Amino acid sequence: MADNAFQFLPVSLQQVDVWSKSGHAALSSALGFPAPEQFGDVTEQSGIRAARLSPRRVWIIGDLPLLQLAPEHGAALLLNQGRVSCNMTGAQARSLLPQLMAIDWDDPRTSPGRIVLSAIHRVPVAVLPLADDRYELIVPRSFAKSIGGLLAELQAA
Amino acid sequence: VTVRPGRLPHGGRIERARPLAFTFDGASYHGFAGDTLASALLANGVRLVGRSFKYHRPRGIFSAGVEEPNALVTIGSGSLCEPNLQATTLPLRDGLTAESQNRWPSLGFDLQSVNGLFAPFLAAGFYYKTFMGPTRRSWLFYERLIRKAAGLGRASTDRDERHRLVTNLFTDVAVIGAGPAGLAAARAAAQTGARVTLVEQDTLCGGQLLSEPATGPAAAWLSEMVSSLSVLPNLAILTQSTAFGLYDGNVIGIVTRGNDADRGPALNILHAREVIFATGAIERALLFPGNDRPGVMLASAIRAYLNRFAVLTGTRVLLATSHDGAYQTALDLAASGASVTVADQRSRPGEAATAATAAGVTIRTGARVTATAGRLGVTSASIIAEGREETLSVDLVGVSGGWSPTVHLTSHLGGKPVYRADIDAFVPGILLPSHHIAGAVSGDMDTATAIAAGHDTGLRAAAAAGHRAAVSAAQPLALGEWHTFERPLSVTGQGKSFVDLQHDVTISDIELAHREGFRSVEHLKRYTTLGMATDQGKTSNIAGLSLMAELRGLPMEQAGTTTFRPPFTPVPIGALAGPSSGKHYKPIRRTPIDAWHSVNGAQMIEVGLWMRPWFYASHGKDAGVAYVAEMRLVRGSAGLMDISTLGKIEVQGPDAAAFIDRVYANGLAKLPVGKARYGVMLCDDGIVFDDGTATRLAADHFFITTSTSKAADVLSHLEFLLDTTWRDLRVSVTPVTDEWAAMSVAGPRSREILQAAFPTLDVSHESLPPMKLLEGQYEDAALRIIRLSYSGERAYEIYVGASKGMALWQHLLAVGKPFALAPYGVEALGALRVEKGHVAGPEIDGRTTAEDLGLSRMIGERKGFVGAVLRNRPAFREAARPRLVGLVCLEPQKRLRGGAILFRPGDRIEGHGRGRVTSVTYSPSLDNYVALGLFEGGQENEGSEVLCVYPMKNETVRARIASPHFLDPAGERLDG
Repeated sequence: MADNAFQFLPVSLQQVDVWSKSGHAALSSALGFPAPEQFGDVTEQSGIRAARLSPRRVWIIGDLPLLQLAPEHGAALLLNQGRVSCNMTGAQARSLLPQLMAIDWDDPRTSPGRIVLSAIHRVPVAVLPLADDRYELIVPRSFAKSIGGLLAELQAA
Repeated sequence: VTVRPGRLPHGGRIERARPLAFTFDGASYHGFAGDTLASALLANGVRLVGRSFKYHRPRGIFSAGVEEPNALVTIGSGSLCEPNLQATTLPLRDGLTAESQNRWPSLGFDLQSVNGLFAPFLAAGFYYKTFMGPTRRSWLFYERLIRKAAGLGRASTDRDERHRLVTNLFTDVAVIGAGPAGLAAARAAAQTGARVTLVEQDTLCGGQLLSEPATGPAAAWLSEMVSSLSVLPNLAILTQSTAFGLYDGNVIGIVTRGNDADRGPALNILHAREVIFATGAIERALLFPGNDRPGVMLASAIRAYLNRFAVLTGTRVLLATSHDGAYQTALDLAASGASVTVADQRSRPGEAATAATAAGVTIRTGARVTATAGRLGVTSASIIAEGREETLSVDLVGVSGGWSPTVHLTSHLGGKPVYRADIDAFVPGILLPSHHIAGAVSGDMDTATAIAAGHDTGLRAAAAAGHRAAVSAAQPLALGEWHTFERPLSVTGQGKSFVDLQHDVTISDIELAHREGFRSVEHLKRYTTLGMATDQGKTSNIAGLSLMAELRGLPMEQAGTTTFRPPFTPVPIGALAGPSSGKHYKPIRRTPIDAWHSVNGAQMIEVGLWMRPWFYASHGKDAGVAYVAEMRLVRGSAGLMDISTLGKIEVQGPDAAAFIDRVYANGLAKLPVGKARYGVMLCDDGIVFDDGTATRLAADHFFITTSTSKAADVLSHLEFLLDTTWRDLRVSVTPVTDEWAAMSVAGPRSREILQAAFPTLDVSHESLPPMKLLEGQYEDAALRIIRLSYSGERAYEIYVGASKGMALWQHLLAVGKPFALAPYGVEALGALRVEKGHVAGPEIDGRTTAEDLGLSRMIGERKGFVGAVLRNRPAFREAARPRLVGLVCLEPQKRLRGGAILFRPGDRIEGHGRGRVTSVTYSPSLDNYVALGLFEGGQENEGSEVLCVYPMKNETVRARIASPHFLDPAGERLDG
């Protein structure tokens, strides 16, 4: 893993909650590509990823202005200040993740192209598997230093 | 006899080309790779390895596995010191330093063995009867002495810096135990394509097959099986890994001990869809006087040391048994040149005896051991056979009272073992659908049967996990074993017969417990300590329960067993903690301005998970000095406070106003856009849950703040309500605590500072009166300024995107310099709010109502919010309820203390008094200590004198009840 593997950087992120199927359609329309329908699904176009976190909630990752949805469809909120992300790459990434969270990385539901919600040291995190040896970790900004320190120690051990 | 005890010149599974040096109690020895510490000690002729728990009787190695009650050692020193390890499971490594335990001054001469002379006074429960007087406190004195005299090893208090790994593993099928059944099960399951994890506590796979001769058919079968498993990519084999507990969701706790001394034991958390228990069986001991002497050993252990480790543990051997299975040990010993006599309790032994006689083994039928002799090891044993007494010169007594299936793990989720009379043993009862058993644990002791059952079970478990395939049967293995089951006869002879070797529980103790009315097996266990301690009674439970059943005249199935709970074997606390120790004991939260605080003299303090500035060293050398200076700063000019830790939640959606109106006790639906309001949330039961502010950003968008400590609870509360109670509401709640850096500028000069900091914004009183929101931008980041005061001064809460928090903080300090702006910490913040009479965590403590805290006027007669019904309970309306008061210290040289109990003068000083002091500060404005408290009747007592009693320091201080608003009750300072 690269030396700077645990450097957390700002992530362009906004959250959209939709109330209904029509809200989902409105979101797809605003995005310009189909929004993910099932929990854990991620759809992507032109570097913009949309990840379904819960029945109502979708995260939009990538540089995109705040989506404007009619109130009867849903609500959008920028979250690009409070979350930071880091990429874990290389063979060690795969060995490090099981030390951090109880997720079965061999399960198809955690394969690249999905989003996984879990916790590191009881801190909520989102993991986006990008490839078999590449993972993007999104963590709350206030915990980033603490989690980064833990990751570095585990890697060094 | 021409052979000598010790290492045989050939045989075994040890690597003779890899000699290893080790020490035991300071003496140097050599063993080989493949040895355990126990086998290496026996190979070197060491028989005495420990002292018993209570009587300090000499004890030797009793078993060859996890059931070992005697051979507990401490290895390492300093921070790496680890006590209570079983020598029988400890792989030998070069340089290993082991010490015996619970002896002084030496193992050979232990002064505390004098305890044996006092045995009549040390029976079960002796300390409950003997050490209770003459006063009630006497026990505290005796306890120290008793604990010192009895016990196991001592843990180090030094910090262990070794890395401790915790890993989550996932599998379709977990197979626990790599004996013949487990191996066959793992092979079958893996060949279907299922992910399989085979967990084995030993260093090698094989289980009881490892006790077979290392070059025979069992060894060949094992070698071929292990080879075939090693090429299966979907099969993981964890050796030296003990499954110590089974938990909900088929989560299996596994502690793995490697050979690397630099790494502590690792914890593996295995998540399995299906679990196969192939945990085998543990041999039972026999009860007879002197059955604890070094040199008395389980028959299966004698065979394991002989065939696996090439160690002959005795040459003149008496083998006491009640069944055919033990004869295999007699045959192997005889083949090694030992002189063997079998004392068979049965009058008509089975066919095994015929084979043994042919091999030169002497058989005594209808025979029971009546005594053993020898100071530090057995030298002779007396038997009575068919009525004839005989004393034999022996150096080893093997015992075998049958086998107990290792049912422990199958019971961890509540499954009750059931008794099988045909094998006189408990086997797993009703299993969960995802649990399976195979081999000796199910009561099938025959190897060929176990292999076949393992294969079938492996296929069944894999199928349940969704993997089916045609798999060839496992290679059969017939060892010609003998299996008969006879319950051992009761004891004959005088002297102590030990049921539980580790805790020195004797037959007499169990008889005593019965006489004293302890009928339940659970009570028996607790009274006698049978089956407690590190071995958890693996060799003693059944013997003890049999005795209990016999004494009560009950069949075994009615006597039952005690409850098996995790852990199966001892687990170091460090392994459970993993990396969560030291600075990673818990995660730390840092505000966007944390780095500035650290380099600018802030003394940081943990507040929940947050690190917050406690005070700044520039204002005083300690908190007591600094916070007063910082209070004066805020009251005199202006202070800057990092309040990023406040919980922040965005509430959006068409129904946001309705939702907000229901969760706050004071109505917020009509809050105008651009305005903020203080809000109180109640729990369902009418108790105050939290307080904070709500600011309306738009018709369908609110920004609410919570106290730092309740942020997560409030979010959870809101989400719960939306997910369960009001699912029809179209509302989104989002935690945005980390999204915003937040800071408060407070003090009479705060407006001037804001004007300097944001020259393009109109922050005049007219444009930005109290409770008003002003939105803008700072360095392209969103900016929210809300005029809110916590200190009683004119104050502004400033929120900016977290990435710009540091820049804005420094900007404010720079432009505020001419106005004497300086940062202040949480100590001053807390003191300022006490002066102003604002309630906080110490008052909102889960016991107080809005009425108690003087907040009821905000609520009025509203209905339809959480807690609205139960807040009107009669008990909450009682006039004598403790309610919020202010307290002013009346004694100049004394101070008030938080937690003090309040009494009226003349009250008897005892019990809970009439109230309590909740928050205290020194007030620079009043030059006196002031406090908030809860006192019965509240402010109706204003002007009354009370006594503040603080028993921890034996202090009593007089105080006067006052209004909680010590400063500026009209609010003129914040309103201008």
